[in-house]
Amino acid sequence: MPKPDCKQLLSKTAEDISDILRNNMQEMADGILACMYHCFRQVFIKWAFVFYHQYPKELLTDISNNAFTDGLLKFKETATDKGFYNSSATLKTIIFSFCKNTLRENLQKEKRFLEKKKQLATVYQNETIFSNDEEITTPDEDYYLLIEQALLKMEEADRQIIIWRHLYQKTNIEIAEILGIAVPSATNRIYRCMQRLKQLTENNSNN
Amino acid sequence: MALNQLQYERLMRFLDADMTLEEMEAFEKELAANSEMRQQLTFEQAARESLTKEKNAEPWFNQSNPYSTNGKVHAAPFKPLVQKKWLAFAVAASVLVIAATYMLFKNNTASPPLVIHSIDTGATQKTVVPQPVKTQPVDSSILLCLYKKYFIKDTLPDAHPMLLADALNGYDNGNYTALQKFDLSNLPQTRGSADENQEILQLAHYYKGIAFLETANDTKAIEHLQWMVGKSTDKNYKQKSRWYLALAYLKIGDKANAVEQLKRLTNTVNTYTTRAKKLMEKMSQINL
Repeated sequence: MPKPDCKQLLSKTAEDISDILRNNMQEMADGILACMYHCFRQVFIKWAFVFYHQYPKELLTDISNNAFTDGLLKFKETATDKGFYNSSATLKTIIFSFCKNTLRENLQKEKRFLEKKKQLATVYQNETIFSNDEEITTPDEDYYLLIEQALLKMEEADRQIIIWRHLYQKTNIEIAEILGIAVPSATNRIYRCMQRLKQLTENNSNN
Repeated sequence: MALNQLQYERLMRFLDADMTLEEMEAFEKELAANSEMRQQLTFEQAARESLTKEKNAEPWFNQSNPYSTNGKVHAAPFKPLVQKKWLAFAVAASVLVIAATYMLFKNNTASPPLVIHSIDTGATQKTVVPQPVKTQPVDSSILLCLYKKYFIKDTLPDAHPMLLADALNGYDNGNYTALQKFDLSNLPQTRGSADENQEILQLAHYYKGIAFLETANDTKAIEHLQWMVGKSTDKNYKQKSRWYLALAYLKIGDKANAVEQLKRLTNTVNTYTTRAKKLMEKMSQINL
């Protein structure tokens, strides 16, 4: 089978890919998925290593690998069943959002599993089948709550920017477009908002 | 020491995974050497997790985007403040002009001159009744966030009446037009059809409510869900509708009604009791 021209195939939009999958253009669809796997898998795993640095590397390799495959399949399923609307987001961003969500869910499951294991290790101290070594330090629920409370205390304009950035996962370019300002100004504004949120969260935690 | 603009831009690109493998490796080294950047990344990571931890945010497909209808792209979820301000000024100015014109017109034609009459002429003077002021919902964007976190489209039942087959299949596939247009006033009236009609009405109102929530027609969603809460004979669907009604109120920023529905859910034991309690706890924790 000849190697597909990834550059050309991946230049398509998510909407184009929906059409290709919906119209059963099987060969092209397979080519695109093969390219996505070939071009994005390593980048995603690397990203996961840096982003979730607190997790053990061996664990992360397996989980991120699986999350990438599952995310790609979810992307395919969504593109076929529901379709995408024309968005300014790149194909890579869209695929990664599926993979990131899958990865987060899988890591949460893994964390819960390790916590259960840790509890069992405490109960069965004398038995060697459960090790108490594995521990993952991620921010706990209280810290998330502090951030939510801090978000509430912020001015509406700042809060909106953070919601765009982190809930809707918009890039600084998209936020600049919405606000009608230059990209560097938008970046500065996002940074300032995040600094204010950080300050308020710290104040909350001190109180 | 604060981050400079280029450093923060790189951090944002990393968060968006918008980097090549080589760029990511360089960024990893930079992170290892810069503690400020590490702290900032950890905080951004926590903020993102905090906002998205209960519901996946994949805003690109039609299904999960409450601002899109039938695949058409709608405006951004929040309008720019600059535009909002101008819009508010424009509306305020228009209201003032209309009110002034009305008063002028009224004084010139219908109403008597403003003098104190010692004799009652019998002319009825209109008393100005203060209009109820519609208050702006407090923290509506946070309520909307909570709605987004908790709203999950309900799945279809295993079996449903044939009459609703097309509409519900459309619902299942994310195409709500057939269901939303389904006419509930002309159900077949045959002998023994009363029970079946009640079932059709219940299912239709319930799924119409969710479908209208999905397509951002909140008023209609509330109408259908209220019908369910008031008139449904199926206890299970009644509770489910109450949950979605509470979410619909959250979506429009009506905290009082949302809390009322949630309280009712927590008073009985049902599938939504835990969720309702959790949502209420969250609302009280963030002082809503």
